[in-house]
Amino acid sequence: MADEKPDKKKYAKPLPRIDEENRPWWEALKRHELYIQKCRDCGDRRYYPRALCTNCLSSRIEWVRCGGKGKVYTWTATMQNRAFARRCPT
Amino acid sequence: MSLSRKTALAGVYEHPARFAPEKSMFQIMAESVRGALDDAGLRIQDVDGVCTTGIGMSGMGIVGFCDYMNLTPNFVDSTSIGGSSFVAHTAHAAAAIAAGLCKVAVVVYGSTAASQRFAIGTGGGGGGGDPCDQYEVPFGPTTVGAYAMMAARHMHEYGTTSEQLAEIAVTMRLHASMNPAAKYREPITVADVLASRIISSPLHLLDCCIISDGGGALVVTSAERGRDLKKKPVYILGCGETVRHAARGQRDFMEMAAGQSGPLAFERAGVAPKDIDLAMIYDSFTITVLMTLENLGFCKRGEGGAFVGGGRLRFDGALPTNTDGGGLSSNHPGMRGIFLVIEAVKQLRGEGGPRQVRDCVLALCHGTGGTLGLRHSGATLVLGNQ
Repeated sequence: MADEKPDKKKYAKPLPRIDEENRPWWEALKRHELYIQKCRDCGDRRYYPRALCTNCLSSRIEWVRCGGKGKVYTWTATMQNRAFARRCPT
Repeated sequence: MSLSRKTALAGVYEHPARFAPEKSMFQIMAESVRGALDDAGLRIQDVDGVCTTGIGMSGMGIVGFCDYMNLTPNFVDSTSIGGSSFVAHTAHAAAAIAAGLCKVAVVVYGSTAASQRFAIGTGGGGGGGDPCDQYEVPFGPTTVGAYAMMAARHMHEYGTTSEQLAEIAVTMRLHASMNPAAKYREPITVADVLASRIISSPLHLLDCCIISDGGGALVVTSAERGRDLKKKPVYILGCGETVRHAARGQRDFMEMAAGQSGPLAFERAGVAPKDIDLAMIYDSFTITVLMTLENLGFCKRGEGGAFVGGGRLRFDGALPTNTDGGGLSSNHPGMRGIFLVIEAVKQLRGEGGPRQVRDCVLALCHGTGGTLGLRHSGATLVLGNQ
């Protein structure tokens, strides 16, 4: 997926722009693995991937694998969505 | 160095159109500027500051509008932070005037979202093309869906009900029934709101703002100049603005930008929520109003459901709110921040007609721009007529 040109007939959804900041994130997802970033200088954790720590501006990054468990914080069922109309219920 | 009482709103105008397929956005804006200048007793030649933005307007749209109106101002501001932009523009114009950068600023908005059939709330698929969007857009979030998720969480954390949210919509429609320019004026009940179809659970159609064409304009001047003009000036007493987002993944989403911009505005105005006679609260959705009232400090977090019940928000209630009928019933061309200020000024001048708030001395305007649950902005103004 990442560096190949998408076949427009097969995949019509928006694709990310892969760059040095997010490449490890997307490549891990291809392996079905979830990683978040941790700053090597101050230890602050963050998602989504950034090239710089938002706490201390360091560029030194550690990727930490998530444990695999999460909690649903909230949810909604959307009945009206122009761009994703075929995915709407009913 | 305080901004309080240094500047005033000297003219306001809300464009009467709600569906105008024969008008361009710029025509609506120009007609609004004319109306606001007439209201102030000023001419276009007096204008040396311009603030505007809009959906359906390019990033350079302010320059295009100056071209359209043949203006070459000393101050321009096209801060574009969603529907709250015009509340922020008013504060920025006040700061510019107080700093001597310009003398008479117009804040203006216009949109043909309805006649152009913009799917503002339910479009999905887009994003602004910013680097942060790529992590969200593939999942098809919609504006309404994100607000709905906040409503669902509020219900989960605090037991807020759809009936309580519906009370807000019912009051907005009551006010609209007294506003000849409002788009929807037939009174509705809580049962009507709950019976309307679900757009994104738990929000019903009548929990969501309307889509209209429309526009408006404001004239901001120094307080001294305001006192020389046609109508009693409305003073800008305090302002505040900020943004909220996912905070790198560690966030209480029940906390809004209003929780920061509101206290700033109150402190700068030297007043508290209990002093406010009229609240103009951005009502993109019923949940927006409820959470904003909590975050501004009118009630405690989690108590919004009970707070909005019993007619409290009625024009004749304990905290008159959105006496024009709001975005839920009167006017919502995609961004409605300017209408918050227009209605506040009218009420503070005593021009509210049948929906006039008694003893209206202090008003608060709060705009929420963007999307609760994703990223949004908040801009608060405290206005007064003394």
